[in-house]
Amino acid sequence: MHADISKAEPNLVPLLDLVLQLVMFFMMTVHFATEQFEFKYVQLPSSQSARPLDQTQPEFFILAVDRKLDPDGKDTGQRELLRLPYSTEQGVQVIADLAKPDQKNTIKLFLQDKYAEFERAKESGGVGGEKMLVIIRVDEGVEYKYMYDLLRMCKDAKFKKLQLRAFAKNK
Amino acid sequence: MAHKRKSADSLELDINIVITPMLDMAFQLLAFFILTFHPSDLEGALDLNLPLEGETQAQSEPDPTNSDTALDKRPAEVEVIVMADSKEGGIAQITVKVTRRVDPTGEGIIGGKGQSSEGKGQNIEGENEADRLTQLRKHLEGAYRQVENKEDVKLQADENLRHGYTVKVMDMCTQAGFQRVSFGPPIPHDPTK
Repeated sequence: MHADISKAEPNLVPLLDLVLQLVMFFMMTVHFATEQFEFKYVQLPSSQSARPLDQTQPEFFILAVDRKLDPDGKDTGQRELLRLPYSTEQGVQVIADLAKPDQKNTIKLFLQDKYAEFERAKESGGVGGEKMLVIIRVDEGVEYKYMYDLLRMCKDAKFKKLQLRAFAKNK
Repeated sequence: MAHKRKSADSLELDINIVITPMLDMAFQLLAFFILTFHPSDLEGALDLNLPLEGETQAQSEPDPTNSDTALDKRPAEVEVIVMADSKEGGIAQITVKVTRRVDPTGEGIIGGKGQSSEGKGQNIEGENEADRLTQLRKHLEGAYRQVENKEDVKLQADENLRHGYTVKVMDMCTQAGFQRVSFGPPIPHDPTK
């Protein structure tokens, strides 16, 4: 009579497979978020037409226009132009305040110097100033005139490849 | 003999891997990752059309003897003018101007070559910002079908327009079919807006 009792055990292996796959997915996406550039300085706008980043670009140069807020979160009116490093928070360089007309010359000289530097680096295998991609990260609260001024100054400094950045928003 | 068979049977080991603790651990890991999962927006790129001389391009007359230059410098026939409100630098008014370049001989439209043009500015109406942007896209889609230069559109904005809104207008231009957005010089802000 006892021999007729059959053991009913659920097969947990497929469930375990599924759970491990989910764990793997979440682990990978966590890494994905950290691969992006840190967003401390600039709150980028959202754009439906932003295309995925090209990871093959050999050399680039990141500028940012930040809307400086005071500790209470109020706009100070300063529009700092920053040079951001490639991946870490170390080495952010404040170039000038775009909102101050007397500092425009500083920005012009900085861009001209950079262009000359990239041109010199051509001899050691660099892409040069003309092919250097200038990535411009503009805070969503910055006014059009400052963005236009910066683009204009980049162009005057002979940079040709410019790119704005935005958060890609689903259509 | 029967004894031997019995001892052989008892030697058969029934090895079962206990999966339950592993599953427990996997569930805990899963819960941790789900709770800490904050999908940040992915950064994307908006390529810019250089040279940025939207204004200069539109006003200058390309050399008709050099066809390559004329093609390269073909001015945008559609211009979007955005005025900002005084409070937050949002969109107060949008005007779309379609300028069809026409041949001085009157033979037809030849992008970039003609001097005389038929310019019409139309204000985009809408109850709110989202509505105005939708209307802008529809209007631009109509303009896209009319013009010869289907690649370029010129955006000229109020000096105080916030970058977030500039990008929204750029989105509408690209959704309407235009590939390149060039920027015109900022328009001085009108405090009555």
